[in-house]
Amino acid sequence: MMDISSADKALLALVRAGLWGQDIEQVFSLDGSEWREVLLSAKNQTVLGLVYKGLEHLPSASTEPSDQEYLKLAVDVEKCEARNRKMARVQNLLFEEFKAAGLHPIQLKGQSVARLYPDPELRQSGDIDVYFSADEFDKAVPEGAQIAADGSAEYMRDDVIVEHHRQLIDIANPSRQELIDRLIDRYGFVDDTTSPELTILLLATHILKHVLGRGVGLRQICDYAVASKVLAYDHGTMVQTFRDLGISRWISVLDSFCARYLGADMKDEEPALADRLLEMVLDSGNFGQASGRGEGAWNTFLSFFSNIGFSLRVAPGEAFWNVVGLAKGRLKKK
Amino acid sequence: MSIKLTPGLILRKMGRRFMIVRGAEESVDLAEVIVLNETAAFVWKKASEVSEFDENQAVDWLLEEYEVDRETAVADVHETIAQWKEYGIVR
Repeated sequence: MMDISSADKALLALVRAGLWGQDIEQVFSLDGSEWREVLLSAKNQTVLGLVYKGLEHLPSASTEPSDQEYLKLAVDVEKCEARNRKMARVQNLLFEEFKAAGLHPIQLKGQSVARLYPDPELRQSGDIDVYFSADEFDKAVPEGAQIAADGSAEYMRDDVIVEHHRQLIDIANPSRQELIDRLIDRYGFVDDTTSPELTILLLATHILKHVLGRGVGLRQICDYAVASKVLAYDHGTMVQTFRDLGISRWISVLDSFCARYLGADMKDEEPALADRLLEMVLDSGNFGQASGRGEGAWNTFLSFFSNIGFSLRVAPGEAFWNVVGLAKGRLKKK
Repeated sequence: MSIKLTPGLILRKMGRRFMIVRGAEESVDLAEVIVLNETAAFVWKKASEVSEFDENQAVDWLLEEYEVDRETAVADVHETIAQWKEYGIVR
């Protein structure tokens, strides 16, 4: 295991306890400022809800956050639950409207992943992500929506950010797009959301895209760990699918990370790269928010090059095509 | 006199403490946190299992769970419920 600070060890132990409801064996002797650091990291990594659940499993000999920190956490947890209830209401309303207009929206990540958690309202969600097939996309975009470089559309609805996506699986390699279309046809959708196989693919490739770009947070990897445990799918078939998409090593690294640091029952075949991924996760926080790099194509470009060695080892094809995509984005801006 | 918990409030175990947050949905700045000791949290949990209760019932809950004399339990319950009314977390 990698040598990390006591605060980071406590953060990971609390996340594991929050995910699986298991008692923490290690006794933590953190002081007030270290506990503050744990809770700040949890906020940046958008895993406050898991840490809140995890605190119930601290051994009695451990120190605890101060009363002041607990008060702040209680308010943050309440706010997170209230926000999720609001997002669920907005999403239901939106979906009713789309369906009334004859459209077929598919929810991505967010609420559909939250319901895989033991306490769905404790999963911090940023926005509502919706996928539309190519023939429905333009009809679904409301007036005034902002169109991003990748063709996705973004707008506000009742104080909630809504994003419409054209792309379901974040694979940049153009030679894989036909395969992705076939996978979407093969695995398909269940009600308004992706099938278990597409959900796993979507989460794994989404994390990869952020690892190759602005950086990734713990919450996104927790989503993958929870989905891998809860969803029923044929792992053997998926191994071949990962190979066909050129991401099998990345999946091994992700599984190793989940086994080593999130306590998931997965294979630990890439310990060194999983350790490197942990470094990147702890450094970058939630999609680069904690690193201070900020958003924007140039920052993504810089972040990409700071992680280039890792990217080339875990998914060389995707690393190459992400450089091409980022360079195109830069040239377009100039 | 019957007492009802204010709907929508959740008792949270924060490590070894118990807290109820009120008003976070409207504005975090205006949110209030009420800290409960272990016996008050126990009464709250029991009360949340029934639609309404009175002080005598709460005293009986305490006597069943804790080694405490009736006089002390009556005084504790009365003081706790008075505080809860003041905070607006029961009606």
